[in-house]
Amino acid sequence: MTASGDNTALPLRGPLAGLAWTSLLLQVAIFAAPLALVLWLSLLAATEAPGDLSLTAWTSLLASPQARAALFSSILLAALTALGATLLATPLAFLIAVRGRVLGRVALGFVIVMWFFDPGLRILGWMQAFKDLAMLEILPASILGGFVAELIASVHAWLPLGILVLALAFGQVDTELLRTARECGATSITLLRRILWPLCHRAVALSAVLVFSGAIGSFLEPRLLGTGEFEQASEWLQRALESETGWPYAAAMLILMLVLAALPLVALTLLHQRKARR
Amino acid sequence: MSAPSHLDLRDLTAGEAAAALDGYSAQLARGSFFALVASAPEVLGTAVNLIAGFARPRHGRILIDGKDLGLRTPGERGVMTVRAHLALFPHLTLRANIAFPLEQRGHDRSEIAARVDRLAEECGLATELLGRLPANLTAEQKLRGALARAIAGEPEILVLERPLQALPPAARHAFLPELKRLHRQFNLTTLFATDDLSEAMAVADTISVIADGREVQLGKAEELFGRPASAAVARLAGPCNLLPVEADMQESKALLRSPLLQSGGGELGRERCHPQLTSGPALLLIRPEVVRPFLGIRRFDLLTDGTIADVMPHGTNTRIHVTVEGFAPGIIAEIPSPAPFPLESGRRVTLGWNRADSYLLPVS
Repeated sequence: MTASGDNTALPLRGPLAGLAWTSLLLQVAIFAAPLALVLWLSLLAATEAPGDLSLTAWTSLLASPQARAALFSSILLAALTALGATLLATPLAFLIAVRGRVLGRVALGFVIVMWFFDPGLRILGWMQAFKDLAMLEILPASILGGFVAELIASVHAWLPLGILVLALAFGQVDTELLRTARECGATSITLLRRILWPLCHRAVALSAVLVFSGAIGSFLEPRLLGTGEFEQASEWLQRALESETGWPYAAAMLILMLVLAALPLVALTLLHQRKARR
Repeated sequence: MSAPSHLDLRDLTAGEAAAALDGYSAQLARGSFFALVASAPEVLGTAVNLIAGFARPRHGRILIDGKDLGLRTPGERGVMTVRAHLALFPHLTLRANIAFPLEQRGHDRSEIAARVDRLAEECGLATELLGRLPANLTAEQKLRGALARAIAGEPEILVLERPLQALPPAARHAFLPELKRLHRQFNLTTLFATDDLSEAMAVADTISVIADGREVQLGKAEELFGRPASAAVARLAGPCNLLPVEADMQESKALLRSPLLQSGGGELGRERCHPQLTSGPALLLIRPEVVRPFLGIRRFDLLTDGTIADVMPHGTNTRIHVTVEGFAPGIIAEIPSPAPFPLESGRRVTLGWNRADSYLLPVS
């Protein structure tokens, strides 16, 4: 390809191109090898004859009410986490992006520290807080354990990611647009609803999708805060892995969870490509 | 007793370094077209942000109709700004952009639609453009849209912050009559912040020139052009020649001495000298349009000799750059085309101009 074409992409040549291709191949191998292994595991028949391949694990998994319920529970928790984290992330992201330098930077610094801090420790902190609150009889028993507690912990764990994605996107919006809207008399809510969200709809969707993809495979929250009443896919997975004959089922569940996590990202990408083509 | 100012900027100090305003004051009468000129756009940004309420002064007050704006938020000030990049909301149609301030003020839909149609027409926008996104409009249509939106906000004060930057250079001066027409039509008190004094001189009633954060001259276009307060203002007002001379100030005239002038000097009436000028080094301001190159004998008050370095066609005129021994910048002359004799590089010429077309400035 010649450099004089209408291409907007810069040509990549020389040692850097070699390194880039090596890195890409390495990533594909690292991702593809375990995926292939898990896929192969999921197709192993749970029979006496080793090496036989069948769809038994998949059909059994899909027929199992327990597995379906666990999967549904995980999807629901991840979807609510994505919704909650995105809604809660918006005001702080707005503050970081729009407010003055000092306040915005302090808030951003806090969010980054929160993101780097081990979610497990934070959830343990939540547990302690719930216990203390239970002792004080402030919170109703229903949210001290079970699905609501898992949801609160999950939103808490994934909130920094939502804030960072949205703050980055909001920060890219031309300040003059926001100033003009303010001059026109727009309130903060109007600014968000009419200007920031429509201009950053991709980032809002990306934030929700990233949180969903991460939250669907969460196992800390269910382990630490769940009551067992609403079993999550990750808990089901752990039980299957603990059983000697459960590995093909666990592998099938893993693949299913991976597809579910990737599905919104793929859908989002396709949607944007379609819009761009228009 | 004179009428109170519509917009009163009192002793404003704000911003840092190149963006600083240092004790700036200005009074705008109701319905006036006032230009604020500074070569540094950052200073203009500081002034506009103070008036619009996006920055607070370290010192000073801003009053509209005698009322201190104090801590009023941008939406409560009655100030609408058209900014250099116009800031049309890219995801909204032109109609929605113009309707935006009306919606925020709670007007009902039918009224908004009617007012947007009327405003678009008054601002020179065809109705079929209203359904387009800003990306599908020309630069001039965008500028008209931004003006219509600002006017839709029913401002007490309309601030234009370098709005012509959005247009291609060739179209900027052509749009100035349109700015004047809109000002006449809506009779809005307008503050035009620009780094181009020639734009300001074309439209504004009063012009305030800022240098180093302070006002260096306030006046009408002809005063700034013919009697600038400093060499910096003279340069902002357009191309100029500033010849270094030695001035001896006398009661009714100034005696000039300079090896650059034929016969070593000349004289200039006191009315052609800056009021604060004292004897000593000075700068003789001569605009290129009044300098004439000639061969042979011609009657001019002041003369100098040089060699043509460059000949540049400039619209209906020809601009020539003449090098003068002992004066590195040389002299620029602009003469109507065709020239009275062939102009070619390397030709020796005498340049002449009249005293009445010169102005003597202090060096600093």
